[in-house]
Amino acid sequence: MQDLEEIKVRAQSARARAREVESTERVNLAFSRIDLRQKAFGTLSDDDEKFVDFQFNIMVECAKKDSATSTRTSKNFAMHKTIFTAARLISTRRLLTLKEEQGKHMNPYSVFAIIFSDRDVQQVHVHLEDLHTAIMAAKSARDSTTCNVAKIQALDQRGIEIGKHLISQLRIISIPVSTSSLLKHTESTLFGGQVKHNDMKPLLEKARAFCTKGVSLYQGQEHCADQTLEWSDILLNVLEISRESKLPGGSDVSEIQYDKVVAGVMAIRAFTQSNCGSYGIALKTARAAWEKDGTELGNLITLFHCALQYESFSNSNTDSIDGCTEPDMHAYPNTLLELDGALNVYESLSKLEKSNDINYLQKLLEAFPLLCKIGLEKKVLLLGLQRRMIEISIKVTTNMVSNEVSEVPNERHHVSSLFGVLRAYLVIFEELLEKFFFTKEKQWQLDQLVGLQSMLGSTLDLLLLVRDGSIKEKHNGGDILLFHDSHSYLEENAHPTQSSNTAYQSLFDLSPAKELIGTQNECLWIGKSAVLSQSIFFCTMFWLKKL
Amino acid sequence: MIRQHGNRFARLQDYTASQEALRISLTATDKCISKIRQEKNYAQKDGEVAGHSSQVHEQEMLVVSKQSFHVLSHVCRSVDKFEEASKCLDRIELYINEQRSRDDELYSQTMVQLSARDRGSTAFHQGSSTFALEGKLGRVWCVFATK
Repeated sequence: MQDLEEIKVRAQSARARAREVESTERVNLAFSRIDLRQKAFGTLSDDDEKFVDFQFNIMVECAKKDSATSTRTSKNFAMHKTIFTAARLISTRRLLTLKEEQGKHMNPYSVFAIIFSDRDVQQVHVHLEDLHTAIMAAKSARDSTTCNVAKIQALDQRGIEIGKHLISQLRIISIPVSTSSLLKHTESTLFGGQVKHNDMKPLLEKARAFCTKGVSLYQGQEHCADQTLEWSDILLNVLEISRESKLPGGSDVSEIQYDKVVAGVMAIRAFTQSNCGSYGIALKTARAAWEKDGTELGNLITLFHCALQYESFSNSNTDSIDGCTEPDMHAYPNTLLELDGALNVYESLSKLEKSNDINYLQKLLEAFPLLCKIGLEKKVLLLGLQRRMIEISIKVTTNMVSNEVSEVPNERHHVSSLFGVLRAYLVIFEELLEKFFFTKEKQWQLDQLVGLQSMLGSTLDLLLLVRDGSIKEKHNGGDILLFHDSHSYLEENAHPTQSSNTAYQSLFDLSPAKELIGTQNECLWIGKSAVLSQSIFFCTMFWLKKL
Repeated sequence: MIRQHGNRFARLQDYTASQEALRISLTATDKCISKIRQEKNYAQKDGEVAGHSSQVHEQEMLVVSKQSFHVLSHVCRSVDKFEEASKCLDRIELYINEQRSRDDELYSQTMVQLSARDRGSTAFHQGSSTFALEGKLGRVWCVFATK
């Protein structure tokens, strides 16, 4: 009797196993048939579409039976993967090729999603795959030359709608178990409300990755500001849900890292808002992004851009100190004030993170070329930016010379030498000196003069520091390093072979000094230009007083 | 072995060599299957029971055949022979359906016999406990147990 029962149980389990194998085989077969049909015929007729639907339904039915009987998750995963691939193939083709009147065929993802309950993580996975397909279809449509604008817009809209729907679903299933138990009565399945944290984690990561794809698809593209804003909003929501659903003590991502990611998305949002013409909102968003992460230079650049746009296009600078009518000649005091505040925040936060490290200033220098590019057309603003860049550059170089750094860090190769920036500053200073400076009020003029003097003084101090350091080396058996006078320098350059025997070596011949500070030629140019600029400045001031 | 070569050739996109290899593999498996089935038919005509090993052997051959047809279908599709690819898939479906009907038959046979034994005399139940491993029931049990 016991043997018979045992045989019965074994026969039943063997049959169940055989059914599982059969399901897998049928799913693979249906997939092959769909793939073959889609590849064999370029454009499918209605009958072909029905055939594809029929085969996909077979796949879904197999998955339904399998998920009801099988407990092996790895096998389910493989089967679902095949179904997702089939759904992607069908959906992408239909989205891209079918016309409006042909759009009556089923969405394969909807068919697949039905087999799971509303609070099942698997159903959200299906919607996520649908979202991914929608994004990729929108991208393909944009890359394609055959798709018309209406089709592209429809695909864009579809992606956004799925994204919004996904957010609402994520919100529902991410409610902690204790809260969701209150909702249990409304659920059709008994354990529908209980979503494990382990299930949520890959789901939210996937959602985050797909929504990031959505943002990066539209960000920076022409006429895609609305889509970028929508997608950044969806991504921010996903990040918020991720943070909320995080279980205490079990987090892999810290709050700071979340803030960094959120700040990055907010910066994208601010930039897009600014380009859309919502300057005030953009500035607020950029400030919020900077508050979230005050160490990311991208956020600093966005903040500067938004502040500049706001000041340029609002009436805030009509009563400025200069009363200048030419927009290029505005001083943009508010923008510079915003930048100074942000620089202070950056400096304080970086000091907190790495107390004795000057590298943060080095990194900060890398942001200035971009800032200068943003303010390129606005010369007075550019002057202010260059002044700040020179001040930081002097600080960094002084620190490096004091610490006897023998090699220039790699990051520094992207930034001009100190003399390079100083030279650019003096060129603009001279240009503005004649036609613009004396239209401004005296306090502003004095500030500029003090700034110029301070920069030149600091540069000279830096050169002396380099020289003194070199003299120390001389005492230790090194070469004598001196400043050449212009006459001897030019002579030496005219006859370079003759100078090879001289006992003296210019301090600008040292590799770090040359790369960090600049060449002797630049030094001579700056000396002459600075003297000239100051002389003109003082003379004009004097004459203005006389008059 | 030949099927594996066919698979490798397909991966290397040498579709001609792959088709050759797969055709050889399928001819071999077809011959094996028909021989096994022939033996089974003879045995059934004589009122004997086919051996367990031949059942297992047939199933193995079917699995190899199905895999070969899958690869061949992929190869045919790659060289735009869509009709042939479709035929390959039809053969796979045929094998799956056959397998299904065999399994169902075997299962129902087992269940009928088990219920008959269950309803039968207690003498049977009190008999040798190794009875089930012999004769027809033993065959059924073995087929299920080794799947």
